Amino acid sequence: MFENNLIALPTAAIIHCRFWDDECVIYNQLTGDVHLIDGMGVEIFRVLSTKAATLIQLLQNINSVFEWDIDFDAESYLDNLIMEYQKLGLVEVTENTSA
Amino acid sequence: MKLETLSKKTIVGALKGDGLRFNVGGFNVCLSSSVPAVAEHLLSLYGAFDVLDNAAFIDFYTALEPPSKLRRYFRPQVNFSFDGYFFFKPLPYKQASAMFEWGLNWCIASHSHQYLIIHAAVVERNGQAFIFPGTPGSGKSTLCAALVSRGWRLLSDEMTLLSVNDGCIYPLPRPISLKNRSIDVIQDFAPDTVMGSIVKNTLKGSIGHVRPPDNSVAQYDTPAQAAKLIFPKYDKGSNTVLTSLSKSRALLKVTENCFNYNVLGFKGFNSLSNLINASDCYEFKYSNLEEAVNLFTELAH
Amino acid sequence: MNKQKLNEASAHKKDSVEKRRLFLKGAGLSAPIVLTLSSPSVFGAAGFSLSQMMSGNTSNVGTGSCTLGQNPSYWRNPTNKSNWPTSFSYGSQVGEVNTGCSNYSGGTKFKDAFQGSTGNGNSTLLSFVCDSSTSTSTTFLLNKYLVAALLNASTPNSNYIYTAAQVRQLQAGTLGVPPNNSKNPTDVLNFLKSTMNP
Repeated sequence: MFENNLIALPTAAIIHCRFWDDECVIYNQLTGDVHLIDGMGVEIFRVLSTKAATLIQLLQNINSVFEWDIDFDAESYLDNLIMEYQKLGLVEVTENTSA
Repeated sequence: MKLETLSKKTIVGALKGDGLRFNVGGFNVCLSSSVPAVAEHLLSLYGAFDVLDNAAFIDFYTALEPPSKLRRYFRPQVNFSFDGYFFFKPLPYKQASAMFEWGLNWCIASHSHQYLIIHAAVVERNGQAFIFPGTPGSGKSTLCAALVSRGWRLLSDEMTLLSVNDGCIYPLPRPISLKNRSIDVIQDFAPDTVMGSIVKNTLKGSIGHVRPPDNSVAQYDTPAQAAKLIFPKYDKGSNTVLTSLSKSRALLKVTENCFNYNVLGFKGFNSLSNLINASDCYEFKYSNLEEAVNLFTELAH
Repeated sequence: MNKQKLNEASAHKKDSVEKRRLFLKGAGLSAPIVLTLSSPSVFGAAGFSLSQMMSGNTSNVGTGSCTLGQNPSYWRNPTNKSNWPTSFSYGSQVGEVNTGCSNYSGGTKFKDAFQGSTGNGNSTLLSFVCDSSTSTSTTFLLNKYLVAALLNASTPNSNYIYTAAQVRQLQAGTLGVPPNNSKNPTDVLNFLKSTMNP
């Protein structure tokens, strides 16, 4: 779904991430909610907290951290994760104009 | 000048007059009261605190007085006021001293947003502050009283004041509040403990207050650095078990125990994150107070 | 023993990090969000009120308090006759021209409400509170306020200072009033006035 998009933290600087080991806590300044994230989500936010990235770039990064079964559709799983985070207002998805 | 250097007559006179002014941790309080039990409470538990002169800036003008007419005589009550306003319904007259402690808790928690205020006991040894959040059934005050009786510095029994400016924990070494069976437990554990009068039939049962150690009160302006964040749970008959808790989960747990987290917004989150960064985090289950004290003393080395 | 417990705590932490990576290799993956703490309300938290824990006496707790009752003027007003406790009757309207309380009759008698009392004939409760004469007789005024007190005490969930039984004891002269436990009618009258809205 997001193959041609750029994924980033919201431009209003309302999302704040803190990383400890392989868990991450995300604070949404707009709602005051705090989210605990582990697994693949942590690596997504680890990348996004430094720069925006495409889905492929995120996948490459995650591939360097985790191993998975050959028949596992990591791209679709990542796509779904991004969609869930977007619904919660934790990430923004825009058109990738540099592609 | 310490409060205990004043005569009882002077204290009673000040309480009935323009108010007794004294320092409580980093806060200056003026208290007016015609209730005799209040003077007794201050004499037995606040003796080591400094009395202030009339020129001192006062943070909280408070009063503990019976209502006029009806409830002065019939099922008598006492009211707590702050700056002349009444924020609580009255309590039975006999609970005046407990009402002072609760009322002052409320004043501090409502008006001290230079701190992130955690509902937790905090004690210090060897420069390390150990924070014990007070979830129900935790036994945090019992633990706090036990540690303090064995030489730990009391920073606070009820409210951990975490500065949002410098990340230090600032002391509020007020009397330690014990409930019901904990009163007997601490009296057995540390027979030399000085305790005020027991107030019965409160919403929390029987309440007793332990006098804070004089040297803890004397260090009221010496902050401490957080070293350990420990979530205790008293479980009758259980072994003494200390389990590491991930920092992420500790952050969420401690957030639930903050009085003014939502008021501070991102500042609160940032302060707590820095606290978590600096602290080892644990869950702690116990039933034996002696073992608990020994374990923490070892941990502080 | 303590050192062992400390070492066990550290080892548990290290093991759990390595195990998580292996688990992912098995493709059983976690949900997007493990846990969310919604923004807690000021001075509150999920599951309990911190201010209540601290104070033991929030402004919503009514323990130990009671409320002022209604005075005789309230109880005589026909507008409020439906608020009379069901055990006492206001009475029935006699005619349609005058709708004031003096136009009602047949309500509960004083001697029935205050059983054992004498000297008031068949006068109704309403007749005492309805009487707007300027008499300063203590007996007259006291009866008026005793009726109001009984109606206050008998109103369900009223939280009035006295029970119905206590009001009857006041009328019978067997219960005193603060501060000196006085049974003097003037003292009783003045105290009852202080228990009602002005």
